[in-house]
Formats: sequence, structure tokens, C-alpha cells
Amino acid sequence: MTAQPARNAPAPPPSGLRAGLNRLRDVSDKHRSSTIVVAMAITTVLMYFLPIIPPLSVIQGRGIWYDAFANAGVFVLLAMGLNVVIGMAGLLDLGYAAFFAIGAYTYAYSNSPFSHTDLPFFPMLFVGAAVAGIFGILLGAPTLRLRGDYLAIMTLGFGEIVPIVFLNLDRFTQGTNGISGIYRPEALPLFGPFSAISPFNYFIVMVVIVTITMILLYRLQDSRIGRAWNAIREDELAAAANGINTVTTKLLAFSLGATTSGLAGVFNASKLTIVSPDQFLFTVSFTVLAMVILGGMGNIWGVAVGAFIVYNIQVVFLKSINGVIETLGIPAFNLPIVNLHIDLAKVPFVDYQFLLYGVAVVLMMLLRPEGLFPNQRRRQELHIAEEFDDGESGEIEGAMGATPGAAANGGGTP
Amino acid sequence: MNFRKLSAIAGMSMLVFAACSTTPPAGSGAAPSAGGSGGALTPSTPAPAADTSKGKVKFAIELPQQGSEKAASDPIINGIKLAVKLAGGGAGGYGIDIPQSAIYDDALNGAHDPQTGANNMSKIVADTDVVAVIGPLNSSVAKAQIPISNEGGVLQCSPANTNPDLTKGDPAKQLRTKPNNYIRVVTTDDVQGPAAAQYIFDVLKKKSVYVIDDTETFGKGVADAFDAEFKKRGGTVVKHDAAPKTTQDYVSIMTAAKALNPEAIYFGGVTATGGARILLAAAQAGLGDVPYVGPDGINDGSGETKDSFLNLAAAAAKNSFSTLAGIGDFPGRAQFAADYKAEYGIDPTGYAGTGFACAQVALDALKRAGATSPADMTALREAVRVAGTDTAAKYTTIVGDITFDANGDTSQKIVSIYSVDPAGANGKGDWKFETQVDYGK
Amino acid sequence: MTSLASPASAARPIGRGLRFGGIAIGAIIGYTAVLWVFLQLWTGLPSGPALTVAIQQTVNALSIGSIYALIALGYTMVYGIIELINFAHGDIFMVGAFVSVIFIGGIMGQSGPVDNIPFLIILIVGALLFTMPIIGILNVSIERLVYRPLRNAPRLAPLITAIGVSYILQNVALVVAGSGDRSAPQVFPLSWQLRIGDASISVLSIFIFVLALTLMIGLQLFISRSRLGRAMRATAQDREAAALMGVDQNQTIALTFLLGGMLAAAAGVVWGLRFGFVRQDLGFNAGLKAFTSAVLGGIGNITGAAIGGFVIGFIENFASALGFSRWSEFLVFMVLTFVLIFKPSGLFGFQTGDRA
Repeated sequence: MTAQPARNAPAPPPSGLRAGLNRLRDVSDKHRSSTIVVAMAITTVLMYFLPIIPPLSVIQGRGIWYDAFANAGVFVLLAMGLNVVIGMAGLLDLGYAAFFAIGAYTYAYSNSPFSHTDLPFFPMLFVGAAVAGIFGILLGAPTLRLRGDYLAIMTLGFGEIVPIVFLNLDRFTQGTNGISGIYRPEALPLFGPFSAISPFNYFIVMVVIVTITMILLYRLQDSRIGRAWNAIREDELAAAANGINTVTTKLLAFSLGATTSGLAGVFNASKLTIVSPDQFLFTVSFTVLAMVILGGMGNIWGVAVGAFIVYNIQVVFLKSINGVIETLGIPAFNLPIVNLHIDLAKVPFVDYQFLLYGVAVVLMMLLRPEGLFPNQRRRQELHIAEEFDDGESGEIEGAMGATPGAAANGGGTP
Repeated sequence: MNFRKLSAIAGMSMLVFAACSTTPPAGSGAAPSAGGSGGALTPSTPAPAADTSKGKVKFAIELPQQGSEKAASDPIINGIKLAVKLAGGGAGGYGIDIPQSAIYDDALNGAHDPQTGANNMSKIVADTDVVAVIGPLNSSVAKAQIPISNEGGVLQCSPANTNPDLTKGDPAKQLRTKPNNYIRVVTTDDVQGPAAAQYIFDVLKKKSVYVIDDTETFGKGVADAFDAEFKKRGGTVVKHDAAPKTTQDYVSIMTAAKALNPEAIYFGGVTATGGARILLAAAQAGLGDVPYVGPDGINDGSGETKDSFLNLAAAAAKNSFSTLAGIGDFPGRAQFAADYKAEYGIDPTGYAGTGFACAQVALDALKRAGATSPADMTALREAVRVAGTDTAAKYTTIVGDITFDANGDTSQKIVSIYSVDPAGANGKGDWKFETQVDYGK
Repeated sequence: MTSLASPASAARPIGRGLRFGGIAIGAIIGYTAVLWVFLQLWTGLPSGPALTVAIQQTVNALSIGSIYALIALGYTMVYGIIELINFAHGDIFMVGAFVSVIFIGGIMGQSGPVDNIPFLIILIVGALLFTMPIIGILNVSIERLVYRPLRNAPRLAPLITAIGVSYILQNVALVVAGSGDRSAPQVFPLSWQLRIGDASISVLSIFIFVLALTLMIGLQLFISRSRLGRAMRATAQDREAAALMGVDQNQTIALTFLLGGMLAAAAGVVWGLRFGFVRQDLGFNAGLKAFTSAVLGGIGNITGAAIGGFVIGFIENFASALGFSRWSEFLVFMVLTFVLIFKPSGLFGFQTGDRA
């Protein structure tokens, strides 16, 4: 039996900054919703003022920053929703963009010249989200009992089929041309009308939506359902044995993810004013997946921050990085052995962004699968296999969260 | 961190570096050559440096610059810059700048993306120095952009958008909340498609045709227009099929087509969505000898141009034709080619000419706007928009004399037809101008 | 049926092979007949031409089915042995297609059909011998670098990583070769045709089918007869027991990836010869269809994957032949859905349990 000497010895009590952070965490755990509101308020104020001062004001104008924040918010919502499915319940959903599409087209059907209807925006948020959630249940009900890999493929298939259906049924969806001229939301009392060139209203609405969603998700995470999700993720057999209805619980996670995605879809449709099938391809699902992984599976604010950062890197920084390099004056250099001439100022990083995402995802899964902002519980889960694995080939140690069947083997080799 | 992981990181980094450095730097066209144009015409001398007393303005360019669309966009950028240079770098008392930061790329992951285009247009509108934007290349991007540029009141001239819904009918009205700001110097697919139908029916004298489109905005639009016109003339469309660009086995589809014995094939789409692949499959299925006709999407360079239709289809393209939604044999063509070659060292291709024309229109609009002495940049932008969309204004551009109608469509409804000259471009094949038809008359 | 995890039947393989061949021929003729009927009903072709077209489409279906079958084998073997859906396998096929183009077009400098039979044989054999090892080694390297460290990690981790690898492969191809189509030299002359009545069938299609069959039978023999094959079957059946019996896990898994990669490479060579173009997003779609084939046949089951590949090829061909090719992806996913919901173990698989 491999010796585990230091694991049972008590760790020394933390001091100083560590202690302060722990106290902060305790306080925020007790008063979760207030913490979120306060944190979002602070963030909003920061997001409002930072674009006015350099360096942000140098890169692009203030209105463009608010526009980018509103768009980033869409991805923040998507990431939080996918986090419920992957991070909390442990189900791999690869067709997430399908629900995004369903929400967007629902809004398009309710608010465009094509459908001759003009329904108010804020109720449509709920309606669109609900419609997407219903589709989540429809997809999930027959497929959630499949094992994880098959579920992944099924959701991937669904994610592929939905744009194809929207594309081919062109009598109902205008096919590849999509539905354009979608009406923007009604004017807000204090802030005025929504428009293409002053995105401030979208920014404010998105902040409110994100805050409310976060509060709801944290509430769920701390509730019995959240704990049921954790149990199912770690060991489904044991969870079922403890009386958790795995089917309903998984279905709830799945449809909640779909609902959030639909919500983001409605917002996005109202902002871009055009929906077309090519906006909802696998690329979108993969981008959101990368954001969840980078941000930290299972950590709600982690994926929110991760999504925000990744989006801004993609849309803002990758495009301006050449200019920055040139300004900084980094010279071109030659790689020694392979004799390649590299001029960083001219490398079109924007073209490579999906390559970078792929590399980032692989590196993260290899080195730090719990993400940049890890959920402590997940980190232990993901690394426990490593702690037991002494690197010899062919030995499979039983561990929580490892390959199924391992639980039956108990812990370790005799 | 153990060795395994370190080697993984090292491996990835090397991969990324190697990939990064094999690609030539993104830029705007080739460097000018040292030699002369080699043609009978000498390049024009640029006008003397223009009066820039009123300040500097920017022209923005918005085109996809990744992947295979880069080959279509680079000539346009070159054409625009050449027009500004030949005009002396200014108009109406303002100097014109086209810095690299004003050239926007709407491509994502190798192909044009409407959302990225919309984001770019928001930036363009927010940049108060911009008085005109030239672009985009793709109609689907324009649909996302026009609401934004319209609200911002920026003159937008497209050198290549051909979808009719951008200017005609209800769909076009839905895109605009304010007076029109969008003009284009090419004619629309509801002219381009029928032009091909007319050519096949009347000139090639083929009475039955098999139509296949790529399910995308442009391809489907032009194929539908072709379909309707061909039937109206009395021809038969044996089948109108659709194959998305992710289709893999075109041979089965073309075998089914062969069974219907069409006398010609019409493809709606661009090279990247299957133009060459379908022709190759048709040849395999036994339809290699029938005429293969497509829109401007396959007219993207000679057999020597990388990724072009002629390059991919090679010998199978011997009986292929294409249309261009613009004038092919324009009066200043030879001079333009000489100027272009002198500046960039290569021949102009694709929409270089219409890009030049758009720039000329913008320059002229700026000149007339400057004459009204606007008080500030906002007023200048509005003045340029008004001048550019003025239906009474007559422009003498490189593609001929044109005016714009109230919708922003050009008066020049000329479609050019090209055939393939197998001996062109050093034996690799090139497009040869056949004829042009004027639908305006 | 031979799967990786069930004991090989040593009794009367010739008899089984013959019976199997008989069923296969019956299925092919059956498809031709069904298509013949539908072509007359749906597209209104008269009986004679309909038969011609039906025969030609059947041959088309066999060609594309062979390609899907070869790729599906890689999916099914890897899943059988380490229960990982290798999302990157389709992109391995794509890289194989590119490498083959580099060999035939770049190194050997060919761009058109080659009439000289001995030289043609050299070209094709050379392309196979060049591409298969390279792609096999690429596959093994990916396994070593990326999948092996995650062998004991929770289920999600290797799956997500595989997606990441798939994106990396696709984008490296995008960066190196650009996003448009690249022309692939079709050195096997398409003008060589056989005539059956009015129908002309290209010899290339026959060659593709024969090549795929040979490789599949070769794989089958290797797995059922050789020592290493036995090791693979043992590891697929029960990893720990195999380890206890002295089977080297790492070597066996690496061998699986090597074989899967080589088969995908062969599919890549064949693709270029038949369709004349390669593209960087070839792998995504082909991979999805091949994976569906593997699931259809019973994942982990080699014969099943091969049969599944042909079935999917026939389904796709059916859709194209009757003119609704834009629904073919939809059809394939519907097939996947039905199989996974009603019979997750596939046509030939055995119960693998429903636990997620």
C-alpha cells in the first residue's frame, strides 16, 4: 500500500492575507446575494469609468467599449449556463449553440417584419428562455440516461441539426438569408432608446441580467439541487443509491443550461437585429466550452470572468496586439535552431485565435483542469487521481471521479 | 512540472511558432515593382498634392482578409488606395488618410462573419474622423452592417455586394431607420442571374439546365434569379439542387444530375463553397463536356492564382463561363491596368476596378461636401452622405458614367460574361472577356 | 462477429467469411433494387436509365462507404480499448489527405492522370507507404503527449482535450494550407471505366473498395491471429486483468492508435484520388459520420464499424441520388439518434451499460 504520510496531519493555521481572504469568503458565503450585487455594482462602475481613461481609451472609443462589454455579457451568460451543465452536473454538452439559436429565433419570430409581430422585449426574454428550456427537456429526456461520451455525441449532433433545420426550412425561417430587421427593445425610462450607435442601454440591461442570473445560479448551487448535482457528478451510482432521482436532476441541469442559453439568444438577436443559421455553428459551442474550461468548471464567477476575459482578448486585444507590439518596439528575431525569422509585430494573431483556443484547452486539461479560478472542490476531484497515481504504467488506482468501475475496485491495489 | 508536461508545452509552442512564421505577413497588396508596366500605356501621373487646408479625414475599408477571401479583398484595397493616390491624396480641401487602423477585417476563423462585421461598423461609426466606408465584400455582412452605418449616417459604398435585398423592397427598408447612406457600384443578382440565363439560352443555345446552389445568401439568391429567368425564356430547369459547402460526396449528386441529361449546369455560389469541387464531380459523373456557368463568385483569378476556381478545376474548366456584376470592358480599363501594375507590380483582378470606382465616388462626394463648408466633422459626415446618395449627381468613374438611384443602386446595369481561355496565364487558364450586356437600356 | 472484446472464433473462418460475403452481396444488390424503384417513382426516370443510374449510385455509395468504414475503424478501436471518443480522429484523416497530396503532388510532382500502369502502382503504393506511417506516428504521438496523462482522469477531461486537439489540427492545416480548397492530383485515370450494360463504373471505385476490403481483412486477421492482436483484445475486454497477465498497456494502446491512424491515412489517400480536393474542415464532417458508423455498428466492434461505415455511405448516397442532399447530414444524425436511444449497443454490439 502506498504510504500517505502527510495527508492526515493538520495543516498550520493561515495568517495575514490568507486569513483575511478566508474571512471574506466566509462573509460572502453567508450573504451570497448581497455579495453578488455589491460585486457586480463595483464591476459595473469600473466598466463604466475605465474606458474613459487610458490605456483603455487609447485602444478604442468609450461607446465601443460598452458595446464590447454588452457582447461579452452574452458570452458570460452562455458560459454560466454551460457551467451548470458541465461544471456542476458533469454532463458534457457539445451542442450548446443550438439553444442559443432557439432563443434567438424565438425572439425573431416575435419581433420582426417577417413575422409581422412586435412583442415587448422584457417579457420575451422569459419566453425565449423558456422555449429554449423546453427544447432542453425534449433533447434531454431520451438522451440523458446515456453514458457521458454518448451524451456528448448526441448533443453534438443536436447542435449540428438545429442550424441545418433553420437553413433548410426556408419557407418558415428565410433560410440562409435569415430574419433581419428585428426590432430593438422599447426605450428605457431613464436611459432613452436602444440604438445601434449608442450601446449604453444594452450594456445596462446586460449587467442587470447577468446579476440576476448569477444570484439565481448561486442560490441553486447552494441548495439541495446543487448538492445533488455535485453528488451525481462525482459518483452517479452512489448518488442514486442515496435516493437522488438522477434522471430528474440531470434533466434540470440540462434544461437550466438551455434556458440560460436561450436568454442570451434573445438578447443577442435584439442587439444584432439579424439572425441567420451561420451564427450558430459548432465554433460558438467550442468557444463557450473553452471559456468554461479556462475560467474554472464549477465556479460561477470564475467562468463569468473567464468568458469576459476571453471575449475581450478575442475581439479587442488580438486585433490591436500588433499595434501594441509595434509601439513597444519589440524587434524581430530569429529562432536559433530552426532558423525561422519571426516578426511579432506582423504575425496575424487574429487568424490564429482558434488555434490558440485549441492549444489553451489542451494545456488547461493537461495541467490545470480546474481552470484559472478553480472551485476548491473540483480541484481536489480532478487532482486526486494524480495524487494516487505513482506513475507506473498499467496500474489503475481506484479514486473518486476516475473511470467508472473504479469505485467498485475500492482504493488502490493490494 | 514533470518532463512529460514540459515536452507537451514545448511541442505546442513550437507548433504554434512554426505555423505563425510560415505565413506571410498580412498587409495590403504586393510591393511595387521596380520595373515599368510593360504595356503600351504609361501609368498616369498622380494629381499634384491636394489642398489639405481644412484638415484630415479618413476613409475606412471593411473587407474579409482571411483565408481564400483575402485573395478577393486585397485587389479592392489596392484599388482604393490607388484612387486616392492618383487624386493627389485629398479632395474638397481635406487630406485623406487610410491608416492600417482604418482597414477592418470582418473574417472570423477564415471566413467572413456578420457579427464581426457589425462590431467593426460600430467602431467605424464611432470614429469621428471617418467620412466614408468602402465595403463589405459579402452581402450577409452588409445586412448586419447597414443598420449601424445607417444610424451613424456614414456613407457606405460597396464594390461587390450583389444581393438585391440590400437596396430593394421591404427587406431593404427594414435595415434603415434614417435616410439612405448605402450605395453600390455593381449591379444586383436579380440582374446577374438572368444575364447568365439569357447567355445560356440565346448564345450557347442550351435549353435545359441543371441548377445547384450552395445554400448561402449570395449563391441561393443568384441561382433563384437564374432559375426564374431561364424558365421565363422557355427553357427547362431539370432540377434545382442545393448542396451546403460542407458536402463531401459531390459525385453522387452529379451522378443524379447526369441521369436528368441537362445541356448545361449553373452553379450559384463562390469557389470556396464548392464551385470547383462541383465541376470536378460533374466531370467524373460524365458531365464534363456540358457548359458550366457560374456567377462572379468563381471569377476570382487565373489558373495561377492560389485557391482560385481555375486553379482548382484545372483542365475540367475548359467549358466554363462566369458573369461579373459589373462592366468588364470599361473605357479606362487599359489605363487602369497600367496604373495598377505600375503601383503594385501585378495585374488587377476581380473587384479591383469597382473598389477604385467606389473610392472615386467617395472622393467626389467629399469634394462636393467640402464646398458646402461644414462646421464640424459631424456636419461633414452628413454632407458627404448627402452628396454621395444624391440621385442627381453624375459620376465619371473608371467603370463608366454612373448615377445612383434613390435606393443606392447604380444606373449601370451591365453584366459581363467571361469564358475560359485554356492557353492563358502560361497555359494554366484564364478568364477571357466575351461580351457584356446592358440591362439598363 | 469479431469485436475487440469478444473471443475470436477459431472455428471455420472460411465458412463465416463466405456467409458474410454472401450477405454483403445480397445487401448491395438489394440497395440497387430499392434505389431503382425509388428513382422511377420519385424522379420519374424510365426503367432502363433508372437501372443505369442505380448501378452507378451503388458504386458511388460503396466508394464513400469504404472511406467512412476505414475512418470508423479507428474510432471503434480506440473506444474499445480506452473508452475514449477520439474527436480528433476525423482530423487525422484530413491530415492524411493533405500529406498524400504533398507526396503525390509535391514530392512526386504529379498533377494529372497517369496512364503508365507500373508508374501508377508505384505512385499509389508510395503514397500509402509514405502517408500511413507518418499519420500513424502522429496519432501515437498525440496519444502519448495528450491522452496518456489523462488516462485516469475523470471522464470529461480526455473528451474535452480531444476536442481541443481536433481544433489544433484543423487550425494548423488552416494556417499552413489556407482555408480554401486545395487541389489533389487525381493520378488514377478517371477515364478507365467498366461497362455493365449502359452503366459505366470507374475502375477507381472498384480499386477503392478492394483496397478498403483488403485493409479491413488484414486488420481482422491481425487482431484475431497475432500475439499483439490478442493483447489488444485482452486489454479491451478487461484492462486490469490484461495488465496482470503481463500485457504492456502503453504499448498496446500505442499500437491501437498506430493502426487507427494508418487506416485513416489510407482513407485520406483514397479521398484525394477520388474527389480531387482536400480542405481543412474535411475532418469534422467525415469524422462525425464515421463516428456515427462506429456507433451504428456497435462501438468496440470492428466488423460492426466497417458495416456501419457502408450503411452510412448508403444512406448518404440515397439522399443525394433522390435529390435531397442538403438533408443528408440531418438523416445521418437522425440515424445516430435512433440508434443511441433505442439500441445504444449498436447493431452488433453487446450491452455496455447505460451509466453516464
